[in-house]
Amino acid sequence: MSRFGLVQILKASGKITTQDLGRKGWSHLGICESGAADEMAYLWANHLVGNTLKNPEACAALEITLGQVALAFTAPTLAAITGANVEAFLNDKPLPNWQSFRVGAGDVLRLSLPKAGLINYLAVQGGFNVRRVCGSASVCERESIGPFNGRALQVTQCIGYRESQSSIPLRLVRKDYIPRHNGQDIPFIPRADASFKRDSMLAQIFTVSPATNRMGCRLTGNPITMAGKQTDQCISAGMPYGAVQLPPDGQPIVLLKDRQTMGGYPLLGCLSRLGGGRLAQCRPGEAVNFTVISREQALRQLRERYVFFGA
Amino acid sequence: MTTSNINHSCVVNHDVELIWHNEHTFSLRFKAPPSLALTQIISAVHLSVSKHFSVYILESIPSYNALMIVVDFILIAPDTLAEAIIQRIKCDLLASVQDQSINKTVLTIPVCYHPEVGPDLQALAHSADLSIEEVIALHTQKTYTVCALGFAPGFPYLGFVDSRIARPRLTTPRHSVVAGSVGIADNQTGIYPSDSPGGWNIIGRTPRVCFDLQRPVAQASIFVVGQSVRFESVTHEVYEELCRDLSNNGWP
Repeated sequence: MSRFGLVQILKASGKITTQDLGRKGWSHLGICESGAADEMAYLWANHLVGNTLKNPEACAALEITLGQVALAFTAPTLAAITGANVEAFLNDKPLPNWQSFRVGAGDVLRLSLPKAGLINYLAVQGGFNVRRVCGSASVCERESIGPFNGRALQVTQCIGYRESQSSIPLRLVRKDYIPRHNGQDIPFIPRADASFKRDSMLAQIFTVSPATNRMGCRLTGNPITMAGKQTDQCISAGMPYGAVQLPPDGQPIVLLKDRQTMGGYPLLGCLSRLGGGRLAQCRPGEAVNFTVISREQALRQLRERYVFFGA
Repeated sequence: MTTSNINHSCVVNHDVELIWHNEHTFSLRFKAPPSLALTQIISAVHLSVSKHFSVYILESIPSYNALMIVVDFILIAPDTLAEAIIQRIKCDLLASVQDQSINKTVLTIPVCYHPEVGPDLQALAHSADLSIEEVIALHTQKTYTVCALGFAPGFPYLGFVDSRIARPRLTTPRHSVVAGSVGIADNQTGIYPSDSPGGWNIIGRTPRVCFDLQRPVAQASIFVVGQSVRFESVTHEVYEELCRDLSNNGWP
């Protein structure tokens, strides 16, 4: 019989939420998708502890933004940290990112402020046990939807998991698969019918604005102008993940996981899903530029990874 | 505005565009101005697509002139599904199946139109050179159609109000609009399902809980795209009574 363990939040100077791959099949009612902001880092964290997409319900992980947290475990498990490059310590012993490690009862895990990137994932074997809302463990603070009343975890709060003593071997991600966290050459799929100067999007370096969050990433640069009147695109319609919106001020906004379901600004195109995850790791003030990828190539890359992670 | 006798086959043969967004998301955009007739077509297409291809679809968002679809790329090549959906739509619309499955019942929403719960009622009446009673009469006399759901969970965009009470959004949106507030923005009217910021002209409030995730999935939202809605004016006393009756739902 398996026993349960708890993680108690001792310190939460950064933000801690539970995330999985998000709510599927609810956006026609206006409920946003939500889900792990950096999908690949989230999937790697689960992979390292033996969770696969064959059982997505056992893949709820903690998303930690800007580190600076301390967590205490009450029972043994296998855990892993991926995402931003961050100094982590288990009982004050340094712990490398991107590899699994064993946790014992009473252990305390600390994360400092990431050195590069914004977001870390902490996965445990079997995932965290949380109440699913609309089929998902993801917290969307903007809509107050999800476990913990759709809010971030606070100090003293606890989150459960199933104790594990299993002998799954420790895993690590090969160095060349660990992403570098920067905003260079983020893959962008231009929209076939959007009339704007490609160069104004592709040949300039943008800066991530401080007004950036899980909903969208605002970019600052030389304003982009649309050629001709795009009246047709200004009728509110469904908003895809990674959509690059162009408000009248010409400063693009990239819509991320907590985006609203509908919007009315003209669209220049979309980031690839992998590109969206990379942008979500960029910090305010960081430089970002885009490079074109074909939809077919982006789909191939995405499929490959999902198949690897057990889909 | 397009009449309800719109030529459906035309819409598909010449006037639907396939627009790809990302790896597995596309929109079918109908090249016609938003109208109730177009909303009926899009909601029929949405139903048909959901019925025949639901297993391959992660999300589908119908709106004024488009249907966005997110494909489960693990199960099917997105281009294959897009092609199949377009073929399906052609068959459906040529066969005029569009009317069969739309819910024809009209949903009636009780609303208390009173300056106390409708802070913009007076100003709207004044700027339209109408009495409050006339604004209420114009808002309650029409049957509206849910053209889209979004912005916030369960927020219905209802088309279209009498041009005499159509008003642009407030120049400065309110930080907080109370759940149940009924508003007007341009020629649309809508209901805020939960407390949220908002810029619509608020003319009244309903005690109906329009959106509640505590209810079973299929009943979370009382609205679906394509559905008909009417408003019914109730007195402040009836409003309070309805609020009390509904209070075991936890709201208001």
